Amino acid sequence: MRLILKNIIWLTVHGFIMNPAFSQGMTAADIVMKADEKFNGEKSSYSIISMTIVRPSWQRTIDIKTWSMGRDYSLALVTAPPKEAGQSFLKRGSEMWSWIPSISRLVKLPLSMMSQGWMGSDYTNDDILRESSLVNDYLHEIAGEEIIDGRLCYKISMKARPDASIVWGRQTRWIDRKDFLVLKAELYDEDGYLVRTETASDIRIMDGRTVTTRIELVPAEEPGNKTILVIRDIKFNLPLGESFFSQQNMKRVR
Amino acid sequence: MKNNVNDFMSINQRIVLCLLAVFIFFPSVSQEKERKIELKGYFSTLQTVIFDSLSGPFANENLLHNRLNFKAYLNDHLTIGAEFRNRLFTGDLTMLGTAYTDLIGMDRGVVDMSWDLLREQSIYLNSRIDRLWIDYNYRKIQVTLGRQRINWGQTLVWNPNDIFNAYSFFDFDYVEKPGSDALRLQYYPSSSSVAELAFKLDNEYDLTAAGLFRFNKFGYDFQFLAGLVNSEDVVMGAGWSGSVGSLSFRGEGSWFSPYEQFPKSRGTILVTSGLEKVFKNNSSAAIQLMYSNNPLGFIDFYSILGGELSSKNLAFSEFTAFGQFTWAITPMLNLTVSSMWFPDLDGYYAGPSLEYSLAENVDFSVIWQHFDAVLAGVRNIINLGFLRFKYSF
Repeated sequence: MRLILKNIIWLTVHGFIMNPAFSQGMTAADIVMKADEKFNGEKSSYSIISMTIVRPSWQRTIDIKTWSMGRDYSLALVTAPPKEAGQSFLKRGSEMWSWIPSISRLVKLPLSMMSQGWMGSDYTNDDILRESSLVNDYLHEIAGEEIIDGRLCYKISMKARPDASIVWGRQTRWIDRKDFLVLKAELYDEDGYLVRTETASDIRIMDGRTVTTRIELVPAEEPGNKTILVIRDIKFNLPLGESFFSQQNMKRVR
Repeated sequence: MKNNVNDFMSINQRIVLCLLAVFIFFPSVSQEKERKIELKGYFSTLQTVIFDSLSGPFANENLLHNRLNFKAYLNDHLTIGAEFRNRLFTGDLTMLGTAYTDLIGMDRGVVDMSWDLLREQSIYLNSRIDRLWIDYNYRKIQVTLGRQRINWGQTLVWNPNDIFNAYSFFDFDYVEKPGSDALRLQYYPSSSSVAELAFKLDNEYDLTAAGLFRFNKFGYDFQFLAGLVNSEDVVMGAGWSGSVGSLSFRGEGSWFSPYEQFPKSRGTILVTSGLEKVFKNNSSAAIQLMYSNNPLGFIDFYSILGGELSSKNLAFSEFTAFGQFTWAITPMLNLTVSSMWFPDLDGYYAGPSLEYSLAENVDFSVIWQHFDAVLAGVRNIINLGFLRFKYSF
């Protein structure tokens, strides 16, 4: 009872009085959570994504399908290019595996690979398999409001919690007030240097939701490099169970 | 007895024909939402040069290689796979005569599915069915029957646990490895564990039958296996995969003991363990060590390259060490340098290689394998150079 009371007081102080978003009764964390759930589904999501890696002299496209449930379960399947097609990645809690069909081998991957570039892109394993939580691993604050692409956005500063073992030190996210779309994000390392900027565009309705379907990721210190993510299809809250994210299924999923 | 064998063969051949028929007739009824038939594969050309010194004679060989991988999804539970391997050899090795081509054309499976389509003085064309299986999945059970790859390895280079078909590190042009004619039963007690039973027969009707249990605990995958290998040895083994800090830590060990003397014989013990580390600048390093109480006695380069490799015959030296460094200079260009040390042979292997992505699905590789070792009392040096273009589809 005392705990509940304490929470109510905390919410009152932080959520309604100190927060510029109090008119909607939302804290900075609520806004981030709402945007995250909107894009990733409250329970689960499925998406078909084309990822194009752009470098000054060449570009390559990788097609993937991903399924996720909460932050503990995710499965990614490569469908193109042919050389890598059929390879799948499974994450369950803090365990990660890869299935390599050409040699019929299941390979256990160390979690430290989370911060590595995923298949040569500017995305990390963490981005694809969603290990860290935008809501639980950060301290959030509304730093103001700005207009991005003609839409009024909350500007949210997020600082990594000291005990969270995550890739980023802090982030700034611009979240659209009307549809809770993340239109821009800046990600900084532990030393405070800007590592990459993400911008989202091509707003469309998919599976009944307004979502951004094109995300461009530009690394700060590598001119001419970027990774473009195009969402071909997305579905929310499919009835996926824990058993969907299994070693048996990662060999079969297609 | 002979007749029984013939009957058995013809039953097998009928199964082969039935499975092939599925692939021929299925496409006509497969125009549904999800693709029911899938075709993947590659074409490659591999130019090989073999020499002991730059001033000596060179042997040149060319291989045109095609692989076709078909998969048919009959329904939610049944899948059929068929993979074909077609190779056309020309060059100095082919001209050496039938000993070389016999070796290439040999099928170690219980059903001979290798065909010499052309065999002349300077040209050799072989076509074989490398995989042909039917797979049934129901709830937590998976049953696979036919020619398939059963890969129980955990470590990068040597796999004493891979008792159905050991992998040769040097045979980079055949990562799939030959299939086993086998029945494999898999039961998944949880989402990250499996209990397996597998039975394999080879061309001499020798049986390999074993069980494996793999599970996840304390952030590690552990596996235990036991069985019979080639109607000859009792095998018991264990393996693991996990990490120490940011290092991958894997290992496996097996004990092979002739079953007539089991458990009195000391048998052959193989134990290996390795570490891998991925660095921030897209490079990675790996080391692995192996110990065997009973390394192969007489060996030639053919056995080192993996000719008759079995999981029991991986070691040529009591201790063997391996090190590798890989650097993705760009995601298009990969440099790998690997080396092995065989103290008992007073020898080593060194192999730098470059792989460059020429276009979306075309890769170009330059590979050099250098061996220097004392074999049967004589120092041998041999170099193998390879150029490969590979188109994947």
